[in-house]
Amino acid sequence: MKRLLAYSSIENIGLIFTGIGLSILFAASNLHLFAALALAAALIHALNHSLFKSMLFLATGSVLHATRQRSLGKLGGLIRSMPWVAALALIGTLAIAGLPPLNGFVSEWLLLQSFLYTPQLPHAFINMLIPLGAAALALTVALAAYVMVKFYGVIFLGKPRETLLAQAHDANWLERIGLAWLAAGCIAIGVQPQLALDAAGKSTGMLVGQTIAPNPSVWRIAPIAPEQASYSGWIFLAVILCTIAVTFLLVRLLAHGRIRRTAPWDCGYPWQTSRMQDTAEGFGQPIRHMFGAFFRMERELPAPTDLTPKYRVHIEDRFWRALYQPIAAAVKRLADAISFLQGGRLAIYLLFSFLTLLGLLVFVL
Amino acid sequence: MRGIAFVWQFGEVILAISLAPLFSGWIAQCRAWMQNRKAPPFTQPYRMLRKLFNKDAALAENASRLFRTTPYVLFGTMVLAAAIIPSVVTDLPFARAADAIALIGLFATARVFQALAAMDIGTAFGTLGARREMMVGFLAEPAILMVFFNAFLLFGTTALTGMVDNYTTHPSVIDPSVVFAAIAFTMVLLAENARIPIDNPTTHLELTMIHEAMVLEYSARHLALIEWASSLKLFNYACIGLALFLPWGIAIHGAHVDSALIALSALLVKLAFCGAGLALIESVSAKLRIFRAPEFLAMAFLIAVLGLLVHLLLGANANA
Repeated sequence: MKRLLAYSSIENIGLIFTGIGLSILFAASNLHLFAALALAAALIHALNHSLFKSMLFLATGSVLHATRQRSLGKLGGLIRSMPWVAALALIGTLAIAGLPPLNGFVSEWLLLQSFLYTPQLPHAFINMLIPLGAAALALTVALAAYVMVKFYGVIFLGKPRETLLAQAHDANWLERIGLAWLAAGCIAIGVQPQLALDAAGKSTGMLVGQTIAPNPSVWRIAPIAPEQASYSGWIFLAVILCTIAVTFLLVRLLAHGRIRRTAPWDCGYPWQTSRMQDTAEGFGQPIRHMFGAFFRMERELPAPTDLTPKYRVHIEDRFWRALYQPIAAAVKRLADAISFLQGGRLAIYLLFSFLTLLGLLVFVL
Repeated sequence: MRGIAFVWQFGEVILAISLAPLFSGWIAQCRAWMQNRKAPPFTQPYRMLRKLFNKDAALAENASRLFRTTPYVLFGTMVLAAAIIPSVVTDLPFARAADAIALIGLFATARVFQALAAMDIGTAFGTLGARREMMVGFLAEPAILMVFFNAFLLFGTTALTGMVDNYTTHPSVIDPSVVFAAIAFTMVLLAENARIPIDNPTTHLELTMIHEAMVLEYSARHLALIEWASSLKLFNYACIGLALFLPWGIAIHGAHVDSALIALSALLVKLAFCGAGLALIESVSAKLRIFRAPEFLAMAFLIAVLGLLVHLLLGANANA
């Protein structure tokens, strides 16, 4: 679970740096208003990331505490035994997936808005490349949504993959408060981004000498001009909630609210077990299929005649082998080469310290 | 005067909600005609909804609250989208809540909720549908973003109402990039609304399902709301397309009864042609294998990018 969240941090930091990079690009071309916008997007995203990522880490902590299980493949169905954690984690999941009306969406929207103004940069070549950057950004955000659906779906939804999970208990009220104030922060910045935008505006004023355009009203934000683009979290939340309430009442009044509990339908296939749901690996299979070139994959598929069939797939990031492992190996070789210094006798270590001091003195004088 | 605007806003939402099943029924009828079948009456979707609302809901034993709330959430998001998109008038108070990019986010919210609800029961088909839907969704988003990027370059705004205003007040803005954007948008529309090259709305074969696999566990009023929401989604997408590429007739600068009537009849005519066009596309193409879907959407993306480059190159020439 935590590894998935750590990789998602890499993605979010990439978004923040995209904002900073755009801001530098605009500032270099003297487009200070747009530079301020991109920088504000980066700052707000950093704030948002601190809210929803800490919240999701806390939620996985609660899950770990309740189930003693840290592997995604052995969880499932926790929404029924841990409704509080599930409900609060849903807010964090939707926020990190960049969905309105929560906070992750606000910063991503601002970032996309600042991408829109890149054609005003005076370099024709950069102008043609940058829309691709915006598309890559949209792809990343949508992929993040995919991954977060997997994260939430595998942990909290479906059937429990282990029998022990039925005994999982919900978080106590202290844990709930810890999650709830972060969730409240996600909602607050989502529907009232003006506060965060004003705060970020002060910092951009110091850094690029320009604050963002004032908001047209307390209900919505419009970073450049209200007739070009504006966003209001309040209207989003209010209209959706009102529609839900009205629809619910109308359905109850005009139709009925009868419910019959049955076994899952699943096209009439009986004998469904919890092992027939998608695992985390299964849910990510389309990604592996499409981006196969970016991974190193080792597969072991059983032959049809195999009496003891075994299926194994091992996936590795190419960077791991191409970049990190050589560096780690070089560091280790260097350490081995100078390990003769480590004799284990205190007197010799003191001698080294003395010689170093002497050397430094000679160097200084 | 603001009160009048709210009345128009409300009227437009009601219009969208009530017309959406009719639009789906019209497409089904055109399809039947083109395939030499006897067509169901185009009021069939309404009868379906009435039947579903009157049935008892059969709910799986382990269904959670998320599963039961999702149909309402889907319906709510689609109603909000209908409130934002200018289909008859552009003086919409709620339209200021979101520009086209926020609209993409709104559709993504609906998609994520639907995928989560599909995973809730823990059946094999539900998770299969959720996985495929998220795959199609994340490939479609960059393509539609490029379309809106292009529109921003043309009209200097990403607010849909603003685009329509600019289009109708400067009808000379006709750019070759619009053609590319329109093709890319149509491809995304087909993919996002579970139409034929990607998904088949009338399929009965579970292994090829995307949308249908996700809603397998739903019944009665929940299913009715989901079906209504998805026909509303198709209606919304069609209205976005019309607002972007064929905005003529939409009442701008505050609506009066006569201009709104013209706009309404224009909308009906445009939707009729649009539905027939969709039915034609669906009749002449076959469903793609699921792993050909990325190619289809990558093509939509590339066409949109080409449009953008055409616009930038022509703009560079005009400036030089």
